Amino acid sequence: MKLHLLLIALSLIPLTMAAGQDEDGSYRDFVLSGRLQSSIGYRIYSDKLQESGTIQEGILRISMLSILDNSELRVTADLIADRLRGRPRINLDRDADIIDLREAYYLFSPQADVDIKIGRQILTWGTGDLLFLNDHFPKDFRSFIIGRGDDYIKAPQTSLKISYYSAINLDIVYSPVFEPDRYITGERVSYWNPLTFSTSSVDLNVLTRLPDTLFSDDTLSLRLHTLENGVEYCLYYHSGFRNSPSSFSLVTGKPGFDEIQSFGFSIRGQLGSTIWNTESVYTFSDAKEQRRFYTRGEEYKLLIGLEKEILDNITASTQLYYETTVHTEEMNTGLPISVEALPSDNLIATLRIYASLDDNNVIFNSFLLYASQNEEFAWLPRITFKQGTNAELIISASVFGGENERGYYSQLRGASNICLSYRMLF
Amino acid sequence: MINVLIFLLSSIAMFPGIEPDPATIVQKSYDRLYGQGKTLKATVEMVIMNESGDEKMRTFVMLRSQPTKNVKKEQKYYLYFTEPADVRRMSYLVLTDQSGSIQRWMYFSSIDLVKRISTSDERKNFVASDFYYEDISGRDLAKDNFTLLQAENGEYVIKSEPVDPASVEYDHALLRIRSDNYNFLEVKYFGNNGNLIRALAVTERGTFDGYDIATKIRVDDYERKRHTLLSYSDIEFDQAMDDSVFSERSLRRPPRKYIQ
Repeated sequence: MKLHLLLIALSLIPLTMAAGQDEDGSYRDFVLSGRLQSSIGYRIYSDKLQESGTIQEGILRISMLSILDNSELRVTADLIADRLRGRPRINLDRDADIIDLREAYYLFSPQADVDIKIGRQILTWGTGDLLFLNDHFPKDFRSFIIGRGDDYIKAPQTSLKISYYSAINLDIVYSPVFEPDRYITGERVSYWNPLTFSTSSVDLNVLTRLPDTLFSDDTLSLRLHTLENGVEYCLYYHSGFRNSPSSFSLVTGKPGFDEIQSFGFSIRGQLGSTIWNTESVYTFSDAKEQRRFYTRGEEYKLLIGLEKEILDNITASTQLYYETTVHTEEMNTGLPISVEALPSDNLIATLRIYASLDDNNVIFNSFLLYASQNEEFAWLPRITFKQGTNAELIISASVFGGENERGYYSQLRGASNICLSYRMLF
Repeated sequence: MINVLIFLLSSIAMFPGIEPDPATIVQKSYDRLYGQGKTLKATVEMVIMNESGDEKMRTFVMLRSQPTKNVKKEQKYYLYFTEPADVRRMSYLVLTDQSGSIQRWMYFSSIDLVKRISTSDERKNFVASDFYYEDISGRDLAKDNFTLLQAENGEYVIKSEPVDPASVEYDHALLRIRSDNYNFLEVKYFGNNGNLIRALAVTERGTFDGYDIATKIRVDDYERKRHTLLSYSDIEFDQAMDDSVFSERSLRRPPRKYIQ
């Protein structure tokens, strides 16, 4: 919290300085942009633990860019006025209540082949479409589910990113303290509690112990990447935590975050007019040593994807994803008798249809996911009507369901919603 | 002896009775339109006017590198959008490799996502304008058969017919090219029943760093009753441009050395 306020304060100083600079042969610029978004959304099915509204809010985004010679400074913040929230809080670490600082970074090149980006930033890598294998950066599932928009799927984090460019490029991302996903907490979106064997809306944040000791609960992500004959090759390493509560402590019984290390790769290329990609990751996590139970333990994930424009301005993309846990006996250690063992294998198939209609003024985008485990599905359709280049009306829905309420996606059935948003850009 | 041969050959070229090869004329003209300079930096402004008279603007900085005149091999370009708000901060990279295969990427800054774009067709609207990708990067000469219809009034009129008619939306096209310097003037595309469906015309030229280039180009889509005006400004040729500019690095971080 203090770290973030300090970041805002520090970043505002050069921003204001830059705005007043005179031309002296070197280049300086200051750009202000932003948007205003209001959204209203309601549940499709009733959830007796929740109110019927899922979203009723206005968000003002302000983004400031200051370019100073060979470096740049950017601050982007969302100011959120939310009718569904109770007591407003400013807690930048765990919850974006009224201010969400999405970017506050300084980017510079100490030498020609090195970029350093330091501060609050949004980071993405990997090749999956809403399936994340080697991307361990925080996601914002809450905002995404309630219909804030596609660009809310990623949450910001405070990190140092060093990129070294040569024939093979290297990215190093170091975060001095772990920042989790903005995961389902029970607020607005209920979740399945395997210990009580029931759907719950009890604030998971209160129950959960977050590893938040500066420099001790830190994370490191590495990526080596190169482009050779039109094919992108990447190798990944990550040391940190699972991004959402993933197991329970044997000592306290509280949900928490497994410590993990992962190794992975991705390859992306093009065959004729079809984009193909494959990505894989192996995650190590020692449940015994960490004294945790009901954990996924070590797991292996594999993804294969294809994308092609199937008709004029209509693109289809499909993914097949397989995940399996490696030491099933270990991950289910110490389970109370009432608790079902975690299943080990899961096969997921997705289909996205993206259509740009009426001279790019209407965009239809539908993402459908089916997971074999619990026979569950997620469907995220969205239609965007553009009004000129500065305004858009978005009708979106998030629909979840499945054989029972215990699955990763099917537990969200009660949060299925339809949402209407209007965005004005400046 | 060699000198005499050269003299004879060059006389043949100038001899009015001998028709020049139309494919060679088009090649020279395309070279002037697309293939000038090893690198190019320009600010591009597009004004897109639809049927009901609504106007849309697009402004982006374009960096282009082409080590050889053959634009269908090793051509690279990078675009960084500055206006309007719905595309601001978006960047776009196109690489053409030795074999002529084209790869495209787009960067969405709000989620730091580098997305690879499938390239099904070169005759697709470029950034929602009336220009096709091919109008910006150049069309492969091997895709058309050319016939010289007319060589008078200082102009060549050349008929172009696609080798693979199914690959394009037109039946044939008529190109007008200046005969003295091969400057590209205009191309008109006709449908199956001979109606004019589309036209691209150079409306203004200028000389920058010793290169005489088209600075304003207009495309009319007669079927959709729309048109787009494209203008180049801040043009700089043959700037030292490191090849690494055309990489993922620039997608994520615009090269401010060129983009200000």
